[in-house]
Amino acid sequence: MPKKILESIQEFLRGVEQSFREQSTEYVEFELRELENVFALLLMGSFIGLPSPPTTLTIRLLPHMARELYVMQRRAEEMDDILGELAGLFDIT
Amino acid sequence: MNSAVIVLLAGAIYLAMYFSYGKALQNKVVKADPNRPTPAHRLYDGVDYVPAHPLVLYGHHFASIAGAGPIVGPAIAMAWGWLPGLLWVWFGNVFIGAVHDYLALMSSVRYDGKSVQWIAGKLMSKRTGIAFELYIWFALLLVVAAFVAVTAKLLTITPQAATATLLFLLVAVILGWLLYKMKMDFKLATLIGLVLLVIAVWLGLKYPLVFVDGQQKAGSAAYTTAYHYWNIILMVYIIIAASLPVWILLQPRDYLNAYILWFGLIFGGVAFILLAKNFTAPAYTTWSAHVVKGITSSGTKAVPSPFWPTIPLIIACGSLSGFHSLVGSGTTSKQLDNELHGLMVGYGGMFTEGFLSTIVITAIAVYGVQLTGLQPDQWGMHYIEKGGLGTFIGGYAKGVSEFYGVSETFGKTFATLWVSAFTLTSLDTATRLGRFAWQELFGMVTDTSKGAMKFITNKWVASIIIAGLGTYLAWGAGYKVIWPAFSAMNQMLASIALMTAALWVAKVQRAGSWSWVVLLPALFLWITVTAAMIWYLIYVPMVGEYLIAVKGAIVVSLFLNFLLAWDFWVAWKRPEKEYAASAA
Repeated sequence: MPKKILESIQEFLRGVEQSFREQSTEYVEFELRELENVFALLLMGSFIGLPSPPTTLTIRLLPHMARELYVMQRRAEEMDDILGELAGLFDIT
Repeated sequence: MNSAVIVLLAGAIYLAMYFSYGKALQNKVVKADPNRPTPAHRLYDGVDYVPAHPLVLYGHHFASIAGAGPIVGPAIAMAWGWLPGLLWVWFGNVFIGAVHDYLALMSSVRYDGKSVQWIAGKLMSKRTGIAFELYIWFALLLVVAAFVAVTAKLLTITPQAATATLLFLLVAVILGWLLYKMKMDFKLATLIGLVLLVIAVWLGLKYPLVFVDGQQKAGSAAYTTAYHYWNIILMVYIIIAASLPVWILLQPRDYLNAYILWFGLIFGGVAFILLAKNFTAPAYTTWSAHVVKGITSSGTKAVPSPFWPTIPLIIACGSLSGFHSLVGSGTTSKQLDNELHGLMVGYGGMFTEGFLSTIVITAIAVYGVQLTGLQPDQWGMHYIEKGGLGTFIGGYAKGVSEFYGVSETFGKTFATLWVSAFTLTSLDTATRLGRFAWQELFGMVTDTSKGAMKFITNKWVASIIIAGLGTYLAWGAGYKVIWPAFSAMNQMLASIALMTAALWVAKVQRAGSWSWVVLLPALFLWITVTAAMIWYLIYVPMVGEYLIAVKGAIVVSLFLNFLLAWDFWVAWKRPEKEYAASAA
């Protein structure tokens, strides 16, 4: 029993520490994601008519972009809901 | 009444209601199922949708919803006495605010982490969604105005905190540089940041930042001059801070804010429980105390404000707040690991905020008479002139000084730093968000003049518009004038979110008679807020630009309010089977 309580306290403190850590990264993460989007767009610019790296290079990089493609596709679908996400990110009151 | 009894009673009520009412909501209304995969699992992408430890989410959610709001509102509402404010905080928390936060979070979880605004558009009509957006910009403008006024006043009357606050910003920049540029070890950088923070407070105590001699006396000519200086400094700060890359200031400052918030809450909570002081402020003054302030040609004037319906114009975040629905449905819902964790994050997060408001009320109730110099029978009429946020800060300072033996000036400086850290955060995040909302609103306008459109939606121009207008409103009036209008807009947002939740519970969740636990608060809130806005338009005097900005905003919200009620009624009449497709 005491061991279980000790473990719960440890878990609690770990959670608190992580939540504080999260406070120090959320905005930076958000901006990083935006930069990843820009990078993905640049890489696959030929799809949208931007001058882009040679197609052969793009094709070789494509497998590494699987996650970005997936994330971008979902974000494109969620474009009408961006304000909600921003409001969630910023602490207003 | 004794401070220990109230603080412990608050804890007991919150715990009891969490395990009874909260659990019932979880089982009967939301029908939370630990085996149903949440969006964090279903749509896992390692970026937005990532399951988080419930405590992490709780801490993050609480830090996002807590700010100056739960402190300012209850501090003004003390004019009615401590009991009405306390009852509204507890009642509002348990039956409206926490239900609202929890359901906004859980409905968002069932709709793949979409925001409540999006769900409103889906369940009611597209128009509601657009109205929501227009509304948000107005609300953000009032956030800027109210918090410029609050911060300028605080820093004028407590010059020690002015130095500490400016140094705190510098500490945040140093911490950001250490963390993100030097890539210093996280714990070491945190330690350095916290030590620097303590040094900032110490330097503040030693070198107070005084612009004009005698500025500490609110209402004097020196005060007004220094207040205006701070208005200008804050406006420049907002415009720059809202445009800086986030790692320079915003991110490290938010991180330090989390420490200040928790430290302040525990530091004060322990002191007020163990001090066990008796309340000196009256429990109840009069039904129509002088609370809501307006502006006449000869200055500001408080009008007799009936407790109902005007209370939501004063106490917002500590009891219920519409902005929370955006936080809950924006990011928190995408990280919920298990549906059962939602109760602790959404419902429990709001209770913690209510606990903060309880501490505020306790601090003023204990030391209010001494600090304002008002006898209990004068409170109803004159508290609004002498009391407010400053009384909380003074009361908090006296409490911690009496219990821990630290100097009262230290307590005051720390409490002011605590509040101003939040108001500064709100200021530049509201400006950032206002900028996005502005650009989005103009995105809907047909572009016939390329140059003009480019100018209007420019990042700096969009920031200057909201910061400039906000400061202009704060210039001639204190926060007590702007606060009710901001609060009304906030509560209106809550009303929209709660009605959306009611529709979801009744039509999609088919909770049967349990739908009433959401529908009744939703209707009560709608009626209260509508009545409060109409009361405001009729009874609160406004002149000049305030008439246009403040009452104009209220008229717009009132219009949207009726639009919402109509949309809700149309949606409510729709047969349940039409909602079957949207059931998740």
